[in-house]
Amino acid sequence: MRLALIDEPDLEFANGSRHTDPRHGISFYGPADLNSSGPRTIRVGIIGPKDAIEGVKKWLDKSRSPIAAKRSHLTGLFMAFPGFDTNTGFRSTIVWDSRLERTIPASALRRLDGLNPLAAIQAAVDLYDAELTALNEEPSCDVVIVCRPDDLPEQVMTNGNPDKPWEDPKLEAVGANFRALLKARSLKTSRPIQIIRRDTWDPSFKPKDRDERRGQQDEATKAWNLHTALYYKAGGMPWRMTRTAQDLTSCYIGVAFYRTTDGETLQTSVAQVFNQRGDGVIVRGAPAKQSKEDRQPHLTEADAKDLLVQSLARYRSEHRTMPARVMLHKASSFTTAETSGFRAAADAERIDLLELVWLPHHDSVRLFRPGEHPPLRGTLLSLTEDRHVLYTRGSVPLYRTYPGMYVPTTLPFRPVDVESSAEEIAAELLMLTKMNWNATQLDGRLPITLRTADSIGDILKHLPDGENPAPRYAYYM
Amino acid sequence: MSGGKKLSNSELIGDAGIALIHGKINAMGHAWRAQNLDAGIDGSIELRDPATGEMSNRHLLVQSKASNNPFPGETAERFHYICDERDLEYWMKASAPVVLICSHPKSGEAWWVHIQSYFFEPARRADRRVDFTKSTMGLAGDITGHLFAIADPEGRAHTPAPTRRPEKLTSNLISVHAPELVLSYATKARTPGEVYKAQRDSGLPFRHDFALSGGRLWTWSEVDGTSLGDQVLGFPDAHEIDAIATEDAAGERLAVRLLNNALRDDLNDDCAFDRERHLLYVRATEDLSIRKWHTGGSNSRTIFKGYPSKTDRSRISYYRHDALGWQFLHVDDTWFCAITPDYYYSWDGRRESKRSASLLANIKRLDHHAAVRQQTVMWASILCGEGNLVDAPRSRLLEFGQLQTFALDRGIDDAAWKRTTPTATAPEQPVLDLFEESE
Repeated sequence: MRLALIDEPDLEFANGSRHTDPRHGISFYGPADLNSSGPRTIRVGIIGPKDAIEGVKKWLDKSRSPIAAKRSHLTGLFMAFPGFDTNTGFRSTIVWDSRLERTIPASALRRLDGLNPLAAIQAAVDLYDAELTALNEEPSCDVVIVCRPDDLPEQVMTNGNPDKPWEDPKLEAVGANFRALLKARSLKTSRPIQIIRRDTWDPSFKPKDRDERRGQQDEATKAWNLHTALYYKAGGMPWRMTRTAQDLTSCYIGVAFYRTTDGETLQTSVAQVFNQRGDGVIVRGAPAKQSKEDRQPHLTEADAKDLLVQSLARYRSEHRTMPARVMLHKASSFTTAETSGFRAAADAERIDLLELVWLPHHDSVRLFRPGEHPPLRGTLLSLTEDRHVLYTRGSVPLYRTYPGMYVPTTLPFRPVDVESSAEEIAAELLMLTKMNWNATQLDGRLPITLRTADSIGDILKHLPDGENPAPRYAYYM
Repeated sequence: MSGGKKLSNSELIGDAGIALIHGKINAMGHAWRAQNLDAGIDGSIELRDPATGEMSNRHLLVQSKASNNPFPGETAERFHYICDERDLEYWMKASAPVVLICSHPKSGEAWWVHIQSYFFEPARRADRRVDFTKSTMGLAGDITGHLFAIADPEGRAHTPAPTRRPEKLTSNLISVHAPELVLSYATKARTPGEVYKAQRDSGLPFRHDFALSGGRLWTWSEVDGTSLGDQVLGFPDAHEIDAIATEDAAGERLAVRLLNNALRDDLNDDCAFDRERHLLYVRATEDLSIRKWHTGGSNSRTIFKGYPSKTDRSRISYYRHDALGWQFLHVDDTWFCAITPDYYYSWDGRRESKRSASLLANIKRLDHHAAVRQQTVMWASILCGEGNLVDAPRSRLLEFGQLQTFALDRGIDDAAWKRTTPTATAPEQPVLDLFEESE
């Protein structure tokens, strides 16, 4: 057994500049695509009730100016938002056009009140989808903001399972949720959507289905997160993974599984495919079977081969090139058939280097520092050559704290068929945890290859079997 | 009227502005150098790595504008400053970054802007106006990272890294020595439930240290004269536990099951087993009074306690039991047990409380790193047999060693990370008794 500390990886920002933290990097240097293809104006469509449209516009207009950081001694963690304007931060601006505003009449929303929760959600999605379709005809729109109805009863508090009283009573979906259903509909349109809840722009609003104990993010952090997502969805690249000239052109693929309907045992595979800069596409694969041996979903050899072939084809069509190396992360262990299938695909596509790593859901191994703070992010404990745990959440020197609520758990990984060392795999995993444009903290627990598998599955399960999902990752986040 | 030499108020204020900048830059750990011949630049900052003291040879030029009167348009939130055209032209052609600092020396406040990036846009350049937002442009706190980024825009910003210092990290892995051999008997029993029923019928003390697999009953010791005696047929075969574990995945699972059941048997006097959550929890005292575990020196930890109802203090609302989750791992031919402290809430000292879920959520919000470390160490000492909770000592199947530790050459200066604002001087949360909350 051995312990190592992996350095916090840098991200790349404007003009090749580097910083470990997204918010610092954007503030100090600007986004990675500042001098190339980055959107300097973002034309935003907006759908929602009239007052919500006005509220969101007002909030976004206010965010053109700097927003002070949360008052805290943690000045590295809570950063001021520099303002979303052409002279600062993202060096971009949001442009409104009344043609791109689609109001949902209050009377139409009131009609949802008498419906049962499931019918109300579906009716609300129909209302918004009609406006999405109308907006899709407009040529000059980059991203659509959707102001979600305030009181859609999409979750109900369960009383908990009487057989498992230790499990928290939790909010459970009523069979569908507005976000997933509408995102599934948006896959056929030509621009991504960004759903905004009222509590983002109206701090006095208390949602009915939200845990009261959950605190709100501070204004600056909210602005950071929302504008980063908008910038990415409008085609921008806020930050990139760094690479050196010696690095092989790499493609990162995460293979995960989702249930097609609630309670269904059959699971479908999905691949999230990213290039070495973090640009991603989604590929839906074949159904998987649960193994009696380890109770995990697995693919047949042919399906494994087909999934990787499809993923590489999508990669080629997006990036006009093929990678020299594929790093494949999988949420379940690798059977011999899967390994053979993936390898056959790599051979068929003439990929020089294919590396296979299993990322188990959980490992019980933990470490404790002598002080008050948990181990540093980047702490890597190798139990054996093929069993490792990595602290992707942990104490962060830049933040001078551990920026989490609970004692951090590790990200376990098990190299199955690799050329890279455990330290190299861990450094890549750390880097991939930072490629998250829904948040601007540097310490996500999961790499982007598997991070959004659940929510992607949530969306894809509403897509009919024969239909090809939109490829861009921006549609799913 | 005096004809002596004079120094104007504005010169004095200008000097105070420079002194203010000097003090603030010095406090951040960088070098300030005043410029004697001033033609639009008052001085320069050489950045220094505050952690190592190493000078970077990265320089920023500084122009100070000090006033004790309000700046144009000044409110509590903002003000603006119109730059002189000749100043601006001079600053924009500098080869080093130029920083304009506006200050009120009397109140000790200062705000700054990086001139070249602020006036990069031609329209703004033509305007010559800097809009200062006080909350985001203050020369306050440590802005070292930002200054480094300005001084080295194409390079890697200076960001704090882990401190070079040796640290010993303790894992939750405790080494385990198990008997080398296990026995397997032919049996007619098909489920553990059948075996337990027969044990109950025998009237003898229960044995948990068995497993059923492949039509055989596996156990750590002979069954003659014990409650398992009637469950087996014939004589046993002996097997090396390590050989079973390394044979295949099924063998490893059997070995782990046997170890799990051995642990359950070993701690049976002190801990009850909850099958659903797969954890062992401290048994209640007979009179439901508090149970403590001595953790060293004069310290002890409350490991079983009842909490009165808020509305009726004479009634116990729930009991909290310390609990243990665990997992056996076979690493390089050695067995380890990963121990995970947990809790169990009962309403009568045994049966699980209906409020268990929210009580668990609450306590896990309170339990921080140091508290969980302390609990892990406590469970390790219980597993090592450093005293039983009950008086009567009993022999155990498993011998536990020490928690595995690892050395690292980088770490954290915890004291330096503590908050420095006055509110931070509140006492830290106690580690050993976080649990005095009632419902």
